Amino acid sequence: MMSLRAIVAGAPRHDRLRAPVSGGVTHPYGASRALFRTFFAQFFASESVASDIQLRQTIIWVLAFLIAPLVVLTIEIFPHFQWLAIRAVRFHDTELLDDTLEWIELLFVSHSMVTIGLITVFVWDALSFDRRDAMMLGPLPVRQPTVAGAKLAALGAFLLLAAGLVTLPSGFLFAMETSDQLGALAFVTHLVAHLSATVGAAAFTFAAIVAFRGVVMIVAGARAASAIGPLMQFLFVVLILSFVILTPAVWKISHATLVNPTVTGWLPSSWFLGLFERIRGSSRAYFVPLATRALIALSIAVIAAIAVSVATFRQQMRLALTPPSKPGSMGVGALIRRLARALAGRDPAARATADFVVVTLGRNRRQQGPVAMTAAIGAAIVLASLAQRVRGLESLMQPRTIVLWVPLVLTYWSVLGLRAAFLVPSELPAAVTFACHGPSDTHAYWSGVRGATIAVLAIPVTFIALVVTGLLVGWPIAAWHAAFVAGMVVTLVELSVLSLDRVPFTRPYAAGDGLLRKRWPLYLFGMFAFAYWPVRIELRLLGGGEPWLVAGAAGAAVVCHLVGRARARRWSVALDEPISDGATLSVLDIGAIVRPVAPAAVSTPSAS
Amino acid sequence: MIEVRRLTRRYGPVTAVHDLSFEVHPGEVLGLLGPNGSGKSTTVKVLTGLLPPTSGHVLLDGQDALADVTSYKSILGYVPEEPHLYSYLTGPEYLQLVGRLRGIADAALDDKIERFLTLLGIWGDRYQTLSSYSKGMRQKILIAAAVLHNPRVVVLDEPFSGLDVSAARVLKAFVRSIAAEGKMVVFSSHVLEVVEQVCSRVVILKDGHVVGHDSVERLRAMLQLPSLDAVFASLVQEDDSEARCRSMIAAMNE
Repeated sequence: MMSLRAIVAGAPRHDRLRAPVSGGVTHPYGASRALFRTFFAQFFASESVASDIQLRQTIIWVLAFLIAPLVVLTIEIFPHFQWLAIRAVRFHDTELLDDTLEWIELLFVSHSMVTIGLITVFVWDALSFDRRDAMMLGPLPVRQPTVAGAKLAALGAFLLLAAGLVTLPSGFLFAMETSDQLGALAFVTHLVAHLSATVGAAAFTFAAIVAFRGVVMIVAGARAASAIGPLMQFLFVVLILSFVILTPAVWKISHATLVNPTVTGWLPSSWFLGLFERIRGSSRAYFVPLATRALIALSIAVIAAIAVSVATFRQQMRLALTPPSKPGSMGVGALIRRLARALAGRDPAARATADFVVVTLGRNRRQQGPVAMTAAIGAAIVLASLAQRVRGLESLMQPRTIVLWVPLVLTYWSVLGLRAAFLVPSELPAAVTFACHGPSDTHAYWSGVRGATIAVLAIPVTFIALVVTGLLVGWPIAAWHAAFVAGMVVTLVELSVLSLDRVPFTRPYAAGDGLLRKRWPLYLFGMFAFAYWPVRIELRLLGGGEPWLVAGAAGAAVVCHLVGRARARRWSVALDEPISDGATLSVLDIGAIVRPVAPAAVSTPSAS
Repeated sequence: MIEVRRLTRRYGPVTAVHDLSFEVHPGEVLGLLGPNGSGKSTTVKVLTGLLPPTSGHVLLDGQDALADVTSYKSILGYVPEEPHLYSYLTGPEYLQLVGRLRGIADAALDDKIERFLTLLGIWGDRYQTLSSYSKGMRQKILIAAAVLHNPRVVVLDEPFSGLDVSAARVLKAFVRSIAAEGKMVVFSSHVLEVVEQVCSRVVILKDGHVVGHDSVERLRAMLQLPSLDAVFASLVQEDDSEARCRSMIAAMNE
C-alpha cells in the first residue's frame, strides 16, 4: 500500500523541513526513490502468506518450479548434443549440430516467454496504476512525471529481476553445454546470444502484457482489467504445464516444420530464436528477417507499455475524483446467486452466507486466483492426456477414460482451488458483520457454503458433461454420465466443506493453509480416487449397470451430507483475536519465525 | 433492563476494564464517556457479545445475556466505531446480508431496505459499491444495519462519525425517539455536546475504572461546573490542553 510517510521520508531532510505549505514540490530524487520502492514492493505484496519469510519461501519454490524443467532438459540432452558436437568437429559438418541448437534455443526462448508471462500475470494488479494510487498520490506535492517515471522504473526493475532469475542460471548451463567442444569464444558467443534472446523474449512478453492490461483498462475500465487477471493466470499456468508435459514430444517434429516461414515465422519465439542465431553468427539466411522482427516487436511492445502506463496514470488521476463505476449485474453470476440461495434452503442466514460466498468469489480477483490456478492444472492434465492418447477425432467418439474423466478432473482441481480461495481473507475487519449480526450454534453457515459451492460448480459441470459427452459419444450414455458426474461433484463438494468450520473469507490466512506444494502427492492421489478410478468403474458398468453407478455416487453424496450436517454446529463466526481496545503487541523482528505465545510473555501494551 | 455487573476484562497483564457496573433501563439513553484507552470500546464489545468478559456479567432482565449469545444478539443492534464493511457490495446488498443473517424474510427485508435508504438519503446511490461511499454514507449504512430488525437494545459507538449536520440532527432525534419507545440505548462518544443533548445518564471511564456515573445535571451540580465538558475534564484529570497545544506548535515549527 502506498505510504505517505514513506514518500515524505524519501525526501531529503532539508527538503522536508523547508517544504512550502502549498504549491511546493517534494525533492524529485527523494520522492522518486520512495515511490520506486513503494511501487516495487507492490509486486511482492500478498495477503495469502502469513509472513515475509513465507513469502520468500514461496518465491523460491515458484522459481524452482519454473527453472527445474529447463535444468532437467539440459541434462537430458547433454549426451546427445555432445555426440553431435564431436561429430561436427571431426567431420567439419555442423548442419545437424546447428539444427539441434536451434531446437534447444527455441525451447529456451519459449520457456523464457511463458515463465515471464506467468510471473507477470501473477502480479497483474501491480502492473498498472489504480484508483488507490491516484487517490493517495493526488494530494501529495509530487509531479506526475515523477510518479510515472517511478512506476516505469519499478516495472523495469521487476522485469530485470525476474528475467535475471529465470534466464541467468539456464543461460550459463546452456552456454557450457553447447560450447563444450567448440572453445571459449563459442562459450562467450553462445552466452551473450542466449541471454540477449531470452531476456529480449522476456521483455517482449512482459511489455506486451503490461500494454494489454493498460489498453483494457483504458477501453473497458479498471474493473474489466482486473477481472481478466484470473483468466490470464489460467492461460499461463496451462501454457507452462503444457510446456513441461509436451516438451519431450517436440523432438519428434521435423526441422523443416520449425523453419517453415508461413507457420513458425509468425511466432514470437521464432523471432527471438532468429535474434539468437544472428548474434551467434549463423550463416542461415532465414534468420535475418526473424531477428529483425524480434527487434521491431520488442521496440513496439516497450514503447506501447510505456505509453499505455502513462495514459492509465493520467486516466486514474482523472477518475480518482469521480465515483467508481457500478459493480455490474454479474451476468451469469445473478443466476448462480439465485441458485446458491435456493440450494442453501429456507434459513435466511444460510441464504445470506450463500449469497456472500458467490458475490465475494465473483467480485474479488484475490479469491479467483487460486481457482484459476488449480483449474489450469486440471486443464493441463486433460490436455496432456488428450495429446498423448488421441489420434484424431474418431478416437474421441467412444466412451473412454480420457473422454469421460474430463469434467471430473476439472471439477476436482477447481474444488481444491475453491477451498484454497475460501481460506484467503476478504476485507477481514468486515468479518465483524457475521460476528455481530449472525447467529451462532446453527448449521446455516455450512448450508450456505455448500449451497454456494454446488451452485458454482456442480450445475455448470453437469451441464458441460452432458453436452460435451452427448456430442461425442451419444446422448443415452451422456445422460447417465451427467447424472454420475453430478453425484460425484456433490460428493466432492460435501467432502471439501467438511474440512471447513468458518464462513469463507472471514478468517486470517494461516500459514500452510491450502498449500499445493506440500500436499501435492495427496492431491494427485485424490485425482485418481475421484476421477480416474470412478470412471474406470463407470466404463465397466456401462451397458446395464448405470443405475447402480448413479445410485452409488448419490449414496456417497448423501453420506457426506449427513456427516456435514452433524458437524455443522461446530462452525463459528466468533472473532478470532480479542479486540485489544488499542493495546498492541510489540515483537522484535529478528527475521525468525515468530510463533504465537501467551500475550504475557511478549506483549508490550501501549495505552491508547 | 440491561445490567452490567462487576465487569472486568483483561488482555494479558493489561486490565482494560475493572469492576465496571451500570444498568440501562428501558426508555433510557446511557452515555459512555472516556478518553482514548479508557475501556469504552472494550465495554461496548463485551456488552454486544463480541468479547467474553474475564469476570462479571451482562444481565438482560435478570438473566445472564451472554449464556445464550444468539438470543441476546437477536434483540441487539450495534453500530461499531469503525465502518468496516465489505466494500465490493452495494449498500442494499450489505443490508440484505445483515438482514438475512438476522433472519428477516426477503420480502419484508427489501421493503425495509428501500425505506431506510430513502429516509437516509442514499437510495440514489443504491447501485454503487460501498467502496465509493463517503464516511457519512457508510455510517448511515451501519446505522440502518443496526436497527433493521427493530432491536430492544441499541449500542451506538461513535455513531455521528462523518455524518453531515442535517443527518446528525436526524440521528439525535432518532436516538431520543427510540428510547421514548422503550428501547435501551447505550451511546459511546467523544462528542460531549451530543452526549449532553441525548443521554439521560452518563458513565465516565478512565483507565478502565468508573470515575463518574450519574445524570449530566447531577454531575454538573455536584462538581459545580457549567458543562459536561468541564465535568469530563475535571474527572479524567486531563493535562493542561493549552500547554499541550503550545508544545505541539513548538514541535511543528522546529
